[in-house]
Amino acid sequence: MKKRMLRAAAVVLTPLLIFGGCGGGQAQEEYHLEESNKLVVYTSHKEEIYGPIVREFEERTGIWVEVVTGGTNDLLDRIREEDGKNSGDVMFGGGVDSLNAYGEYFEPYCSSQSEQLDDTYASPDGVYTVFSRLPIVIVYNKKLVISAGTPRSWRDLTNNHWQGSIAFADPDRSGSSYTALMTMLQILSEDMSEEEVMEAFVSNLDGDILSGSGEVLGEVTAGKKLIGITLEETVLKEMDQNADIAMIYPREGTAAVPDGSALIKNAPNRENAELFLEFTVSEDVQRLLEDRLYRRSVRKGAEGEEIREVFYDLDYSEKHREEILTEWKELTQQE
Amino acid sequence: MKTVLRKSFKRELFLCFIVVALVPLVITGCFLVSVLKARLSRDYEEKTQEQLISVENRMTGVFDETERVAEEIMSDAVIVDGIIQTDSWLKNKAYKRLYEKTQDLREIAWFHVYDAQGVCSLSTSPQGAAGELPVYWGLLKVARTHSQEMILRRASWEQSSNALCLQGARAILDENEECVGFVVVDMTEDHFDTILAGAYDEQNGIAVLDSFWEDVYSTKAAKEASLAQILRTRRMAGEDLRQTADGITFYIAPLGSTGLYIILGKEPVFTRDVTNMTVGVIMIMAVCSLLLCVLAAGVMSNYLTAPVKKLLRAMARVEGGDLDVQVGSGRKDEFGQLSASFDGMTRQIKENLALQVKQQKELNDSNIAMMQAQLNPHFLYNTLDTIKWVAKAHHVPELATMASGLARILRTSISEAQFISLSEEVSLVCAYMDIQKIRFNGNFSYDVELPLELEDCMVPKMIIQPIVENAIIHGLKERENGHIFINIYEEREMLCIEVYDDGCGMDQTILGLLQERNREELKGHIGFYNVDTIIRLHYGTQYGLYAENQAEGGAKVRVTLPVVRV
Repeated sequence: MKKRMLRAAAVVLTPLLIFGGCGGGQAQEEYHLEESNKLVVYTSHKEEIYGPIVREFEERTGIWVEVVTGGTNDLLDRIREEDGKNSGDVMFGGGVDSLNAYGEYFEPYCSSQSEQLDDTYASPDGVYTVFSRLPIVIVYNKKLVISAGTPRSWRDLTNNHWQGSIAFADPDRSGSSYTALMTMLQILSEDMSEEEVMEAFVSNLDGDILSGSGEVLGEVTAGKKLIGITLEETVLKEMDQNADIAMIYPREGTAAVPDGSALIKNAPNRENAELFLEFTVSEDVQRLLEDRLYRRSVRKGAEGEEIREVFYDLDYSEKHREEILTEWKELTQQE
Repeated sequence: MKTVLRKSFKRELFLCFIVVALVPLVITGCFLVSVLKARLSRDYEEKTQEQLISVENRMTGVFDETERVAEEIMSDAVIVDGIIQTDSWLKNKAYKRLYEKTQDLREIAWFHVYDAQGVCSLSTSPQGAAGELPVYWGLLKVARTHSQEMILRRASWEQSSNALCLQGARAILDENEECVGFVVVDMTEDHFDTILAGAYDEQNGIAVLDSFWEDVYSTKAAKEASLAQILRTRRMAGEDLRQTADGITFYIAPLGSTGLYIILGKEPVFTRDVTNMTVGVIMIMAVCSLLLCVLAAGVMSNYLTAPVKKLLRAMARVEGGDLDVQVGSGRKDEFGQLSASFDGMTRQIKENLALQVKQQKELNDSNIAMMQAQLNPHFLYNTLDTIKWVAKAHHVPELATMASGLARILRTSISEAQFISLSEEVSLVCAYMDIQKIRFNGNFSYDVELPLELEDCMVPKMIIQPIVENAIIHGLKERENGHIFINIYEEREMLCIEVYDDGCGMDQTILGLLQERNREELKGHIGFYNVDTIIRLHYGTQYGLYAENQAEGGAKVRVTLPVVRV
């Protein structure tokens, strides 16, 4: 009898207890993450680049990383708008010229490994830390161009032999394209004027200018164009899958303008951000860049194949950007 | 509000029914739903936990097994030698041994042996050697520094078309503790599918997360709901992990000591649809019982109020004086009993009333007889007659008049007849006044006005005399030449007898007492009271005696009677 009463009471009380007991506060406690154990990374890199690096960083440090992806300019605009409030901690990716342009939104930082880093393009006031070097190369379709007949130099590109065969992206839209154009102008300016170089080059393009740097490789592999101008990284990656293309480092040398990372001002997790910055230039990451990610290390004495490099004047190209692009536009519209 | 509700029995009943019918229904309904809900979710939670545990057990079992096999491989000299062998025969031997060892686990994992530089040397993968893994990075780096245990990591390098989920590695050390290679275990999505087949409910999403809650493996359902991403985002944002999203509840359990986690996303048992349906059923039941209440209230109130209304009507008639009312209900219940006792009561009242009237009448008759008996000894009359004749013989006319008048008065008084004609009454009064005139030395005069047609009207005897006596004794006391006027006339079929005097008028207190018919206080005016009482007893209360003072002085007494002729 008593038992039955107890059971009845249990039936009545159970729902109350269950309803009262919902919530799973325990799980919350157990899986609580300390704020100091987090890092927010803004990155314009592709997942194949940031993925392994972020993951290895997490595993080595135990810090949880939130990745915010986007285009370089979008992210930089976002950082400007946030202006140090509720912002991320690190900007990972973007050409050093872009990072420099937004210098006021970044915290100056000098890497403890700066001694080991190539200082060609090092930021004089520590706005950014270089990450990888990205040489500009000439790519060609092996099926359509015999190796003896490939262009060897920037000068060759102004030769009307290549008229209508060059894949080149609009320098107004593509950062790497602008860098390529400026490199060519810088190298060839010794015996030709800028205008002459541009005129000759534009006429070789035959009015067919690609809208993005991503299209260059496609045009060449598809055989629509014989040669193209693009970043070494993209060509190397493609060459791994497709044996029909090859690349040439121009004889006069080429520019290898690096991309970089920077500490966002008033970063909530400043210490973790610094750790991340150090990690991006660490030996292991830089080795991985060359080993698996088709990029060139920014560390001194890197293993990569030696190429002839020219110094690319960041200040000059930034200052003359408007002027050059206006001229470019005029020339291409004339065609 | 209260008054509105109280007004009608029907409404009260209706309200009562609603409370009795709906409140228990709603309470039990809600209670039932919540109990059911709680019970179901508890059962399902237990079931889910069981599932989680079974998945966990299966996974840890697999990991233990692979670790055991990995240990066997690394301690097998033939296989370890095979790492650096280029001799195909020796390599072949190593391969044979490798396949032998991994025979049982072939379905759930691929085993590779890497050399110290991270180049794959031997592999059970059907897609051939797995290429290269960096030894300065990720899995092999950790395996090298933690050589005593099997390291499990989310697979990072896309090495084959078959989606690789998890990689485990263990460093192979030689006797000098130098690393000579690695045993690497690959587990693909297919392997996970095989391992977990039947261990969980297909509806639930199962996902395996690494220590940073990145997706290692997700079942189809989990992938569709992107459980892993949701949870990682939540944990990063410090949100409640177990809160439901799109109706999915999460269960999380660490996977042994591997650093991996198992999550299980489950659709709630008690979906909104089910809740809505149960609520709907309760609502329909409530509406039905509401209708039933209305119906029952109507029927019940009619059943209850009909006899009450009948009783009420009967009572109203009784109040109006009709005692012949009978309710006569045929019912056997309390209302039947009530009607019966009401009927009995009215009958009883009627009988009682009749009895009372009869008793009163008997009393009155004896009263009248007594009043009349007070006046009349026969002997007085005979004596007076003698006096009259003696007075005539001795020539004392006043005495003769007095004696004859007194005799007449006495004769009328002692006669058996209760009623006399008005003319006789008037002549009696005249005789009385003549006597009084002699007594008071002719100090007053009188007139009587009696219309001829009223002479034969019958009135109770001696009803004017007490009034006139009062006028002479009280009204005209100490007054010279007083006058009494008796006016008799018929008005609206009513006989009016008015007695006027021009004396001092009546005291207001006496008038008041007369009006109240107060017998006790009317000492000295008992004659008025008697007249009034006699008239009322004979003819009813609408007749009687009324006295008042005249404006010009003197009193006026008016007696009303019905016009009765023989």
